[in-house]
Order: sequence, then structure tokens, then C-alpha cells
Amino acid sequence: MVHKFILRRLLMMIPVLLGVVLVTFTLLYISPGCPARNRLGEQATPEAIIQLRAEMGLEDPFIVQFGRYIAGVVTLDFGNSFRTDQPFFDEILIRFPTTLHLAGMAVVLSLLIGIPLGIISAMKQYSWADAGATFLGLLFVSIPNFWLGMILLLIFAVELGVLPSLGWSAGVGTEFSNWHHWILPTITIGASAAAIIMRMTRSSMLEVVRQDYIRTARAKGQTPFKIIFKHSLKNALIPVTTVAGLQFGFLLGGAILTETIFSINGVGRFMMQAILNRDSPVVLGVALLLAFTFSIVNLLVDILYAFIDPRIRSQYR
Amino acid sequence: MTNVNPQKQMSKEAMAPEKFAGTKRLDRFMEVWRRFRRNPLAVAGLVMILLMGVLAISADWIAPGTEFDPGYDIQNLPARLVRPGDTFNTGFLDDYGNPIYESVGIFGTDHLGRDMLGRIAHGSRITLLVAFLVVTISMTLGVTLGAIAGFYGGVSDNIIMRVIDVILAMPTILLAITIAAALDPGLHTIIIAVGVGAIPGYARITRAQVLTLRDQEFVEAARSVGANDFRLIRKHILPNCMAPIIVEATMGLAGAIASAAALSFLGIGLAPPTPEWGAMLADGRRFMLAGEWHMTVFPGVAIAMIIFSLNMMGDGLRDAFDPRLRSAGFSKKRFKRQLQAIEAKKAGAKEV
Repeated sequence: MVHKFILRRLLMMIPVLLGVVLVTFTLLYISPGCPARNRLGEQATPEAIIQLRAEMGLEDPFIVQFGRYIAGVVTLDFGNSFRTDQPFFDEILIRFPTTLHLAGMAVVLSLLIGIPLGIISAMKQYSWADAGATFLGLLFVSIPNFWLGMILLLIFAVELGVLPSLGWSAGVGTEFSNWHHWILPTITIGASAAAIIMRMTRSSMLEVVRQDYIRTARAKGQTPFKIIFKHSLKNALIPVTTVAGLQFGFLLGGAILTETIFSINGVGRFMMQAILNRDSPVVLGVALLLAFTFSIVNLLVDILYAFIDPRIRSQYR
Repeated sequence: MTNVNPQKQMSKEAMAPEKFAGTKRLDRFMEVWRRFRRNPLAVAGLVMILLMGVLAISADWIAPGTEFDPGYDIQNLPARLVRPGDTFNTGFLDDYGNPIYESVGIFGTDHLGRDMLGRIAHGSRITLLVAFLVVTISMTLGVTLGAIAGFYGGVSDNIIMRVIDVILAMPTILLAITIAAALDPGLHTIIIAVGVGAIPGYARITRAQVLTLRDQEFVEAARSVGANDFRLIRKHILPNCMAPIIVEATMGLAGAIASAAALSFLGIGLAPPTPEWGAMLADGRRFMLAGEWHMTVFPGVAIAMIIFSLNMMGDGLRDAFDPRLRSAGFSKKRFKRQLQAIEAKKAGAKEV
């Protein structure tokens, strides 16, 4: 049954991804600016521009261009970047690991901070610890992460001068040795995610500890430790998993601002430059990649549910 | 919490339902307001938002414009990049031949010698306007779509929710950037770019609410006396699902402010010299590594503060609308009290 469920979900992704491409394609189609002129420069003659446009296939009707792109995607050909003329696939392979690393680290950080704080906050509701954690949680949800990044840079790179302000790309084997390069971006992205996860853990725990089975556990004299970690947390973590999955997908795309601030050569910054340059294949490719990753992560979260929650597991038997 | 005698309440409704319809709504509002008022964080948020409104109204008084320049774009090059508390050399000499130094506004000046406080005050107008318009438009569209999808179900539900899925599958900020790049720059572009990404939230909440309400008896009753679909949705269903929508809208104001600031920060929002807070941060970033901290700190504090206040208010509203999550908890004292209550009940039952 489970593989049937997964297969159905994978098939359901197709129209969504098609929709994403259609929306992005239409937006790019109506965008002002001409990629051919960008490549040839301001002095290019109109004839040369028209000729290059024809070569790039930009003179064809909308539906032909769209069909051509979809046909390419089906054969895993995402086209070449208008700017560098390199295949999109090669370009993204340089940058995706960086962003993946950043988002992954941020999610790990946010789970490590958010879940314990959320548990403490819920268990000691209305205590000073709860008030403090709730306040901090709300504060970090509210601080725009690009501003947080700038403030961290001001403190650690400008005033204290202990950490470098820019330049980092993930290399195999150097993920941990050059931590001083990625620690600030990770905190920048992870802080708001940690706050969101903390808030979610807290409200979810509060919901769970009101259930009858918790009262039963307490009435039969179960130790508080076991009640918190075995009876409550397991049930409370289900919505937290969803949020963490959503956050991971969100961070992949949302890293755009952080990558800009820290001058990190990742997917977000790549996308940003591509949009400004009207580099359609890159914009389309990144949009598709992010939507795909987002959908896959959501699917994985749903599958993970089954491992955490036997009630859901039994539905798919 | 409610010590209203249920019998008394019922007789009141039975006596004159029409006459008391308005009062009932007011009562509900007062009830929510009473709970909201007791939450200090929420009230603090409301007060801070009101203060921000005052700042926006008094912007022309804080930084009056001249005949040629609006209040936010009065340049004074000798006073460029003056930090708060510092003075600058005006270039003039006093009667004894000493240079005249002058102080600047409490937030310092930017790279063109413009007063940061004045710019932030003028910027609050744009921020509040954008946030309000984004939420109004996206809420109207989202609620309408969600209500249609939830009420009619079937094909319309399928189509609407698949479109919503597409929007959800694209990271909000990237969607906003792509839209903003496709349209010509201006206020309307920011509003559309930010607003489209906010529609799914309202649509999903409304749909979920409508789904739980549409088959209830009061809807059936209204239908049986001849109310058409539009009236059913507008008069009977939507008023009953406003609470989560209002909470989402409050949080949506915060989200819209953050997204608009992000767009301007990336340089695809409003063109200079508009004092949009995000654009001011982008200016600040250019001078940040040179140590001009005030250009980065103050606009950011303004953004964070208003988002923080809105979120506090949103949290407060949620608790006020739905007080279930407050009270009780995991404390030993409360648990003992609960057990005692159960014991007492049992004892009482035995006695009877």
C-alpha cells in the first residue's frame, strides 16, 4: 500500500510542477528586457539582435517556446544559460550543494534549539522560562533574517573582526573545517526557523498534555521524564515535523537574501542574478528545482509521519 | 469563566432574536476584547502599532518638505554619514573664524546627509500602506476562492486548490521577485508581487472552515427558508469563520512588511529616493563594512519592531478568539487540583 501512496503522490506532483513552469514561463515571457540585447551589448545593431533572437528561439510564439521547454525538461535537458552558454545542469551542480548545506545546517540548528526550548516552555507554562522563551521566539520570528545577517556581520566581522564577512562555497571534505565561513549565514537562516519550531513544539506539547492518555499516565504514577519523552513528545512532534519540512523547503529558496548578504555563491543568488539578467533557462530551472525539492521534502515528511505515528501507518496498510 | 446562567441567555434569545442580533455580535466582540486586554504582550503590540501610526501621520511634522524636495529627500552633503550624537562641520565660520559645528537628528544621517529619523518616519507611511493594501487584496481573493472551493467542492474545489498548490510550491520570496521583475516598478507591482504569495494562506484556512460549517444545521435552516448560495456564504458561513482569518490577516500584515522590505532590499522594489525601510537597509549595507552602523541598525529596528508588534497582536488575538490553549498545563499543582476535583465528583456522586 505504501508504495502505491508514494506513487500517487509522485504523480500528483506532475501537474503542480507543470503549473510552476507555466507561471514562471509566462512571467518571464511578459518581462521587459531582451536576453539577446543583454548578450550583444548596447551597441548591437537591430538586425544582429533579431538574428540572435531567432537563433535563441525567442521569436517563436509563446506556445511553441513553452512546448520546446517542456519537451527539453522531459529529456532532462534544461537548456543553456543565456549569459554563460553553459548547460543549466552544470551550473546548478556547482551551487546546489552550497545552498543544501546551508539549509540543512540551519534546520539541524533550529531543531536542536527549537525542540528543547519548546518542551521546557510547555512543561513550565507561565513560568519565567516560558515567558522568556516565548518572547525570544516571537522576537526571532519577527526579525527579518536579512537584517539579522547584517547585524551579525556588524558585530562579528566589523566590530569584533573575528569572523570573515564573505566568501564561501561548499567543497567536498571542507564542510566542517571552514566552519567560520558558514557559521554566521547558518545562524542567520536558522534563527527564525528555530523560533518557528520552538513555537510549534510549545503549542503542540500544550495540546498533547491535555489529552486523557497523559492524565492516565500520570495517574498510574509514570515518571515525568517518561511522560514527557515517551507519551507526550512522540505525539507532539508530528506537527513539528511538518513545520520543519516546510522550513527546509522554504529555506532553500529563502536563502536568497542571506546568500546576497554574505556573498555566497548559492542557488538563491544565482536565481536573483538570472532574474535581473532575464536569463530565462536559469530562472525556469531553479524554479523547477526548488518546487521539486519542496514537493519531495513534503512527501518525505508525510512518509516520516508513518514512522512516528502508528495511527497514520495503519491507514496505509 | 462564563458565569452566565444558560437558561437566562436562552430565554433572551428566544424572546427577541432579531432585536438582539446586533447586541449579540457586540457582546462577542466585547468578550474577545476583554480577553485580549488581559494579555499584556498583545496590548503592548497594539500600542506599538498605534504609535507607528502616529509616526506615519506626523512624518511631515518631523521632517517637513520644502517647495522642491519632499521631507524624506532633503540632502545636506556636508552632513553626510554623521553618526547619532556626532556633530558635523557646516563649512561656515563664526565671527572669530572658527568652523561652526552642528548636531544632527537622533538617528544620524545617511550617505547623502538626509536625516535618518525623517526618512524612517516617511517610510512608515509606505510600509503601512503596502501592508494594508496587500492584506486587503490577498484576503479578499483568498477568502473568496477558499469559500467557493469549500462550499461547492468537486471540480471548482479541485481547480482552485491545484492553483493554490502551484503558488505554494514556489518559495514566496522567489515568486515575489519573479513577479516584480516582470512588471514595471512601482507601488502596485510590490503589492501584486507580495500579495499573490499571501493568497494561499487565506484560501486554505477559509476552505477548511467552510468545509466544517457548510453541512451544519443552521446552514440547512437558512437554506430551507430560501437563502441563496451567495447569501448563505456571506451571511451565515463567513461570519462564523472570521476568527482564524483575522488572526491570519494580522500575521499577514507582518509578512507583507517583511516581504516588501526584502524586495526593496534586493533593489526591485520602489526606486530611490523613496524612503522604503528595506531600500534604506540596502543603502546601509553599502556603508556597513566601513562601520557606519546607524544606517543599518535603525531602519532594521523599525522593520523588526512593527513586525514584532503585529505578531504579538496576532498571538493575542488568537488566544482571545480561542482561549482553549490557555489555562491548565503540566504543573503538579494543577494536576493535583484536577485529581481532587475528580475525587470530589466521585464522592459527591456516592453521597447522592
